[in-house]
Amino acid sequence: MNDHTDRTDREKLSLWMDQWRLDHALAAADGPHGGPHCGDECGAGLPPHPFADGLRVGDILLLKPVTPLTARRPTYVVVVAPAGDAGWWRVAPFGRLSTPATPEEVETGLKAHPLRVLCLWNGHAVPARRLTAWAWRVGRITQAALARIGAAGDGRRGPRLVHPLDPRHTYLDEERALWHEWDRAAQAADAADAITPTENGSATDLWEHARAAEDPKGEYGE
Amino acid sequence: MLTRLEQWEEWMARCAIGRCGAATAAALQRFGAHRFRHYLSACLGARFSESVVPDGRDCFHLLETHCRVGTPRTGKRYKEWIASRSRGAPDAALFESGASMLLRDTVRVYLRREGPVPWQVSADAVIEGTDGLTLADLLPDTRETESIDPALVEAVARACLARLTENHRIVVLARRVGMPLSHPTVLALTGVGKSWTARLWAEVYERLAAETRLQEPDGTREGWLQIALHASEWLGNQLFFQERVEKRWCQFFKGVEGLYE
Repeated sequence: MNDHTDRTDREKLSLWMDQWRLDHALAAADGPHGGPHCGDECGAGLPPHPFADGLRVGDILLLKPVTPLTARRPTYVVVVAPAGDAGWWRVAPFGRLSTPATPEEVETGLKAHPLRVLCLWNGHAVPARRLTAWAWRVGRITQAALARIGAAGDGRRGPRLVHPLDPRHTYLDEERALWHEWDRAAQAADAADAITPTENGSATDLWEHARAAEDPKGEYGE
Repeated sequence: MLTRLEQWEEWMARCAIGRCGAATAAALQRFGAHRFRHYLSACLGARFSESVVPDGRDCFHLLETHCRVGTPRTGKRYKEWIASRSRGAPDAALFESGASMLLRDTVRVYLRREGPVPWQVSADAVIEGTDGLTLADLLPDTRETESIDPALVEAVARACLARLTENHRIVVLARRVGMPLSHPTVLALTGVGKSWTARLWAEVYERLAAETRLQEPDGTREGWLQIALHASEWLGNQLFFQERVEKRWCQFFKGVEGLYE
């Protein structure tokens, strides 16, 4: 670390702080009633919708709004690698801000705004059947592109996190809720499935049937 | 309500506002312009001026551009996300609230690009929302680290540790293992709400800072900061290793990597 690195880190943090401030100002503009969301009940009842050709490393998914966090904003994740047990995958979410918050968040270089930052620190192992039920596939990046993102140097990563009272701790805590809420919803859905098998054709899945054909093609992002 | 459900349904079916009928396009443009202006005003406050607001016909299209991911066919799943946010049948309110959330993100990015808000904050400026912290506090000069006395760091940390309550120790351990202070485990253990766990964490640091100034009265602000930061790290590690041995809260922290293995 040297003076140049310190100055660069402060510039990055300044940029992130500005986005964080704006994010709060925008949320406050709508008051406490930012809009209806599913809450915990949304998880049950969504029929499984197996992807035409299964999951692969590099798949980019949009999580369905089955938890409070995923109902507050579209949450995109990328399939990073198979996880320990067969049928499980490790996924990592893309960030809600356009600037990486910490060294464990990386600028991807991808054009789409929601995919600008990858939160490597917030990876999670998820069973394939839960992903296919609770996510839409929206695209794919190559394994080479994913590896390049993971190997990115300091210039594309966020500033170091040192101070115990840094506001980024609040941001990290909020983002950690993603998988905590997801796991709780999955447990509730599994319990409900064990009692009452889920039927296809739920009345709430208007768009699921209208968009039944998955397009497996469409790599981009190089 | 600025829109009707059938207008959103037409937008879903036709994929873009540019392909919608004139009446639907006009309604969605009015909605987009209204929300965009509202959010710009909220962000800019007294610095808001009409010159910052894009053409009303462009606001909704900016949302579509901002949200598009992937191929033309799969890249508009965000619309299905909006429609799926309620367990019941969608209505205009559902679409307006979902689109509003997306417009907030769109405005945030738009402001970074077009807005008058200066994003550079000087190293000594107090950061909004913190208790007087500056960029220099959050990212201290790393060259100061070489002169830190480990014995002094440990002395400061031990003096604080002796006076910490059980709740203070729990939040320090939670931070050390990366558990959010709002996690049900932390709230159950401490018996307080998440605003209080955040307060407890702040108190720990404030005590470390105060002890540092007590033990090093002739120090500099930069030196005190470095000592307090290192003492905070020492404290977290100490409580981590203590818990590994004592297992007082193993029922609550089980599953935490490396803690009980």
